[in-house]
Amino acid sequence: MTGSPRRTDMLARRPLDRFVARTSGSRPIAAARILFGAAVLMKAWDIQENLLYLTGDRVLLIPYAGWLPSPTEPLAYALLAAWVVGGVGFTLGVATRWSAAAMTAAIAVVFVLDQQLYSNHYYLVLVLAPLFTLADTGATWSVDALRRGARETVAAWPVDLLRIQLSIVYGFAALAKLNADYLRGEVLDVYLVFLGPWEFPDALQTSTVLTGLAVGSLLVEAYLAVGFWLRGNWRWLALALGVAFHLTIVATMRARWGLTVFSLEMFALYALFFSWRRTAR
Amino acid sequence: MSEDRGPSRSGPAVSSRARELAAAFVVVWLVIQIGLPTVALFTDRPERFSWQMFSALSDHPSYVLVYDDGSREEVSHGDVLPWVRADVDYRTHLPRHLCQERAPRLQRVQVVPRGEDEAERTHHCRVEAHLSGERG
Repeated sequence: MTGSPRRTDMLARRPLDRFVARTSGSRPIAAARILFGAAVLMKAWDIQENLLYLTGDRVLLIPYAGWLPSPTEPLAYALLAAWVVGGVGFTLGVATRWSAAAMTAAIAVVFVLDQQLYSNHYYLVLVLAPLFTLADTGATWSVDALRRGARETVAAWPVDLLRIQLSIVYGFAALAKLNADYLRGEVLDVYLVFLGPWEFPDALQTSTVLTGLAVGSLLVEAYLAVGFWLRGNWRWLALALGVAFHLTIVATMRARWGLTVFSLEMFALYALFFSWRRTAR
Repeated sequence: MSEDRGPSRSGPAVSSRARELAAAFVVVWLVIQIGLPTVALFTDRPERFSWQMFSALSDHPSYVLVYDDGSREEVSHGDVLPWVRADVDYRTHLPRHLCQERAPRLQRVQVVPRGEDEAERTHHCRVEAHLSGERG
């Protein structure tokens, strides 16, 4: 049995139409805005050193395309200023959407200036910033809301895309780790830090422990990809596991600043799975 | 817990045109965000834009610099770059950069791969300089 093409098209579009027509509470995205804003500002501090290095003479440049401008000092400072001013405005919720747009534009231009500036947590900033710009993040808990009044609901589809992004990041991170080098613990052996009071103890530097940690981290990431979509205690378990997981990698692995930015970004996404309302007693 | 509400009268008023644009954006976004990392699962790791952080060790090549006087110097990325990324392919850009940086004494750069699958390659600095001069 086949319907007319127009009717078939309408039926196919219905779930998508419903997806973009839904609304959700404004508090989760506001909480996420504040956490993501903090991550964006931390990333600005992190990127400035490498960006300014690339403005020097006789340095290796690897642009994504030949027609893109080479980094210069005035361009770098202008972009960093837009990034920080936009980021502060976004975090506080001052002219929230315009601030987010300025911040997103600066983040994107810096990103494409040179391939050497790439990092996965920076790419995540680049991916999340446009969604936060499209979402109505300043509807509550913002200077905009104080001036114009808070709104209880916002369009749900950007919020849902942000939630889906959490699953994409953890899901593909887990799938990518399904390889012999990682599962034997060889990757962790390189990246774990073996010095200092908070870092991975010397006595645990055995292949058995490293293999256990590798398998464990893969399983945690796989659970985090689905756990936030589950109800009740399963979601709270995902929150507890996620926070513990990120605190552990920040404490024990190299690239600590970048991992802190990455953790804050993911915590911002965690916020979207909770209502942020007081429950009646 | 999270709350999802159906289409709500108190929610923001949105035109059908805006909803169509939003729907198109959602589809394009999901295709890119799911498609890129899916394709990358079937290529060498770590790959960019694919959430493959800390998933594999990379085999960066080493570089043998051969000077006019016949002397040779072996360098790695860490010797000549302030920071090195496992997911950036330096093999084309770094030899060119070394030729420019160490001109006119450097004659050629041999790119020596770590793995067995890849052949050694040589960049001749003068040819590079001549070609870039012609292009300029």
